[in-house]
Amino acid sequence: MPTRHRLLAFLAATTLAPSVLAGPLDDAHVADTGFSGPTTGDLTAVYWNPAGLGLMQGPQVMVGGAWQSTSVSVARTSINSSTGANPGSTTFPTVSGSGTLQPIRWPPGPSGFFAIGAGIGHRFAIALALYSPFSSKLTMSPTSDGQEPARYHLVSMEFNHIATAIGLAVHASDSIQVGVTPGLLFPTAHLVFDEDTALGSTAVENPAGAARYDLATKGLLLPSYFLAVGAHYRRGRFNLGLSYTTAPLGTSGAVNVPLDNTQIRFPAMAEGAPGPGLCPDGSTGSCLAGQMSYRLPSIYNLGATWQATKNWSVTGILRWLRYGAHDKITILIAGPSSQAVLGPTVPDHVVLYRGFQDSFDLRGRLTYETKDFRVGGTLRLETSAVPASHVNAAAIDGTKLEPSLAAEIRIWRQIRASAGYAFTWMFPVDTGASVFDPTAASACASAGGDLSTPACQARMNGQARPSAAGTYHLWRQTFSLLTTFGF
Amino acid sequence: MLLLASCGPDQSFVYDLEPIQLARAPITPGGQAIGGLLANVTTSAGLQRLLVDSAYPINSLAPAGCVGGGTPGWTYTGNVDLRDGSASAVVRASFDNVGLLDLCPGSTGDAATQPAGVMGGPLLANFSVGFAFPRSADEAASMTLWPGFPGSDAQLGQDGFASMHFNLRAGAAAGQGTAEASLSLPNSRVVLSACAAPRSFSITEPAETCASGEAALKASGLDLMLAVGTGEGPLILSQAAWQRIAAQLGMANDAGTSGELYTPFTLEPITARFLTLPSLAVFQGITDSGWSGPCTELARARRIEWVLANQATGACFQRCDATSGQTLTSHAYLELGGPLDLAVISETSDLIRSLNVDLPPNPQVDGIIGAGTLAGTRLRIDYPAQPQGRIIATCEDGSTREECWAAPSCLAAGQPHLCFGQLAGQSPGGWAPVCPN
Repeated sequence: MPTRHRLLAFLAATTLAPSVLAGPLDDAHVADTGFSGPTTGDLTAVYWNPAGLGLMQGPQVMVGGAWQSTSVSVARTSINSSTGANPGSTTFPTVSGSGTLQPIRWPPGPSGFFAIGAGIGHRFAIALALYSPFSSKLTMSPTSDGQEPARYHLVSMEFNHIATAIGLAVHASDSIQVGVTPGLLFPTAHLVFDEDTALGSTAVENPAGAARYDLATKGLLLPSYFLAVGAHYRRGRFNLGLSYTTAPLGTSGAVNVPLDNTQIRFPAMAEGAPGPGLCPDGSTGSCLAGQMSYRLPSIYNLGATWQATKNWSVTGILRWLRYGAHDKITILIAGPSSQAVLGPTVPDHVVLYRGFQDSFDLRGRLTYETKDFRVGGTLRLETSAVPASHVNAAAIDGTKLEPSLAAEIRIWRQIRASAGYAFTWMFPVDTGASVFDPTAASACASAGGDLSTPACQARMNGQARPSAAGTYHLWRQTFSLLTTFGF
Repeated sequence: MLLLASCGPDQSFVYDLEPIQLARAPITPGGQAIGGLLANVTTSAGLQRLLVDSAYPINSLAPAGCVGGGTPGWTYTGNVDLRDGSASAVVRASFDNVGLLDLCPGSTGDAATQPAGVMGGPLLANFSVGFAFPRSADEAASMTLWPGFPGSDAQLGQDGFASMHFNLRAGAAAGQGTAEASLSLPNSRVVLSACAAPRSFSITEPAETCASGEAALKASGLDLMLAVGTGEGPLILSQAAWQRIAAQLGMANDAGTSGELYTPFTLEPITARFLTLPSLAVFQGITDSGWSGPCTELARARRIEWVLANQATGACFQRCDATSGQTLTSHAYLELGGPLDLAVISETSDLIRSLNVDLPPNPQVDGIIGAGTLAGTRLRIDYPAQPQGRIIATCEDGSTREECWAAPSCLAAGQPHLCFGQLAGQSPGGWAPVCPN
C-alpha cells in the first residue's frame, strides 16, 4: 500500500468524531461531508435512514471524524445609552467569534462517527453507532480594548448531544427495505453569558452591572430517548429514501440538563477576585445548582439517487428540520437559602429567547465512482432557522450556501478511506429591528407583571434583554475523514 | 411566543417564572390575615377570589361567581386567568383547557372570605410551586411557578434547604351528586409525617444517652400524618389525634375555646375547638429503609446535632444512632413553633373524611398543615421531582429556632460539610466516634 494511503487510513482511523453545524444546532454532515444521505446503503444509514442498512452486505465498521472551524462577526447597531433602544449615541466595535469542533475529547464527539454492523443474508441488518446529531460551539472574543458587545447574549457556548443508537433494517420485498433506529441522546452543555442587572434603570449595558453566568454540566448525564424510522425503495437505477427522526420522546421534545458546574460572578468581579459572592465564606466549590431545558427539532429526510451511467450518479436530498420547537432556553438556579442576592438582585431564572423556525436543507450531488475510487461534489443550500429579527450572538443563522468536495479510495481489499472538505457561507444577516427589547423590562415592572401586556409577554419570553440589532456574518470550514472496513 | 408548558394533550399553561403576589385569608374568624392563600379571578360576577389550596382534590371555578347562577356539580373544561392577590389584580398566569368543577368552595378563614373557585392539587401538581409565607400579615405572600427545581437533595441540603419527599395521595372515585355519577380524583395531595408537641431542645442541654434499640423509647411527641393545605388557616387535627396529644401534654380532651372553622371543604363552617400547639416537626411522607417514624427521627436528629455541637468536649454518637460503627443519616425536617394555632374537629367531619378518601390502603391522615402554620417559612412543593415529589423548605430570614428550624439531612461522615447549619467534620479527629458500649 502506498505510504500516502496508509497515512490517510491512519488519520481516519484515529480521528474520532467531527461533524459540521448546519442550523444553529444541527450537524449537517454526520458521518462524512460528501457521500452519505437517505439513499446510502452503509453504516451512515443509522443516522440518515435506517432502512438503508438493508442494503449492506456482510460486516462493516466505520470510523471517522471531522474538524470544523466556524467564524462569525457581529457589528451591533448603536443604542441609546439611557434606554438601550436602537439607535443612539453609544456605538460598538465589530466583534468576532470562533469555534472549533473536533472529536478527540471526553465525553466523545462532537463531529465523530463510529459504527459497527452487518447485513445478514440479504434479509436483515443490524448496526450500532455513536455520533453527534446536534452540536454547537462558539466563543466571542473581546475587542482589543476589552469590550464585549455581544456579552448579554453570548460569551461562549458549547452544546453537544452524543447519540448511541441501534439501527435495524429488514427487507420488506426485493425493492423495499424498512428500518428503525432507537437511540439515546446524551447531552453536555456549557453556556456563558452576562445578565444586565441594571436593565430598566438609566445605566443599561454598563459592564459594571453585568453578572456573568457560567453554566456547565458535569460528566455524563441521563440520556433522552429518540426514534428514527425510514423506508428505502430501489428499482433499477433509481433509489428513494425517506426517514423521520423524532425529537426527544416523553418530554415534548425537551432536553432537561442539570447544571452541576454553575457559577455566577458579580458585576465587575474578576474570576477569583475577592468581593461579594453568592456562596457563604469558606464554601468549597459552587453552592449553586442549575437546570437548563430546551427543545430539539425532529427531522425529516428525503433523498433520491439516479444512477445515470455505470460510473455517474446524481443525488438530491431534502431535509426538513422542525426547528420551530426550539423556542427558548430556560435556566433555573438554586442557591443558599440564607442569602438575599440570588433572586432579588441577580436573577435565579433566565429565559433566553430563541424563536427558531423550521428550516430546509437542500442538496444536489454528483458522484463519479469506479471500483477503487469515488469522487463527489455537493452543493447545499439551507434556509435560516432563525428569523432575522431573532438573530443574536448565540443564534446566528441565515440562508447558507455550501459547496463541498469528497473523495474516497480503496486502500486495501475491503478498506476504504474518504476525505471531504466543505465551505459554508452565510449570506450576511441584517436583523433590522431586533426582537430583543431592553425597555420591556421596566415597562413590565411598571405594569406590575401583567401578562396581558406586550412588555410582560416579552419579558416572559426572554426578549427583555439588551438589543441584538446589527449585522451578522458567518462562515465555516469543514474537513472530514472516514474509514470503512468491510469484511 | 409565550412561555408555554403543556402537561396533557389539550391543557396549556402560560406563566412567567416570577413571584405571583397573593393575599391571605384570616387564619380564624377575627384572626390575623396569615391564612389561606388567595389569588383573584374574573367571573361573570366580576373580580372574585381564587383560593390556592394544595390539599383541595379538585380544581373548581364557578364561572358565574358564587352568588346564584351556575350549575353546581358540573364538570367542564375551561380557562382560568389567574390574577394576583393585590388590589390591581393583574393577570399573572393563564391555564387553558383545564378540567374544572362548577362548584363554589366553602368560605375560608371567615364567613366573608368566599372564593369563587380553587386552584387545587391537580393543577398545582403540574409545577414546582414555590410559596413564601411571611410571618407578618403586613407582607404579601407569593407563589412562584417553575417547571422544575434544580439541585439534588444533598446540594440543597448544603444550601440550607430541608428536602422532604412524598407520594401524592387522594386519588379516588368520588360520588358527585346531582349531574354525573362519579368524579375521578387524581392523586394530588401532599401528605407528610409529623411529630406533634415534641419536647424542647437545646444544644447546651445535658447529653441524652441512648443504647442500641432504645431509639423509639427516647422519642417525645406524637406521630401524625398531615396533608399540606395552603388554602387552610390553622393546623387542623382530628379529635382522635388531639386526644393522643392531650394525653401526652397532660391537657384536657376538650381544652380550647369553641368556635367555627371556615374551610373550603364544606359549605357550612365546622364546629371546632381552637387552642395552640407548642411545636410541630414535619418530616417526609414516605417510608424508606432507615425510617423509624417522625418522633423517633426527630430525637435522633437532635442527638446527632448535639454531638456535633459538643464534639470539642468529647461528645460521641449514641449507639442507637449508629449501626456497625457508622452513624445513621438523619432525616430532613422542618420544625415550626411559636406556638401554632390549632383547630380540633371531629373525625366524622366532612373535612377529615375527605382527607381519608383513599383510605385504605394508605395510612390515616390526621389533619392539615395550614398556611398559618407555615407562616415564617419559604416552602416549595416540587411536584415534578423524580422519583418522588419533594418539599423543599427553609425559614424566613430572621426566624428564631423556636419559630422555625429547617434541618437538612445529615450524614456525620466523609468530607467536612454542613450539618445543622454548621461546618462539621473538620476537627483534627474528623467526625466524633460512636460511643463505646
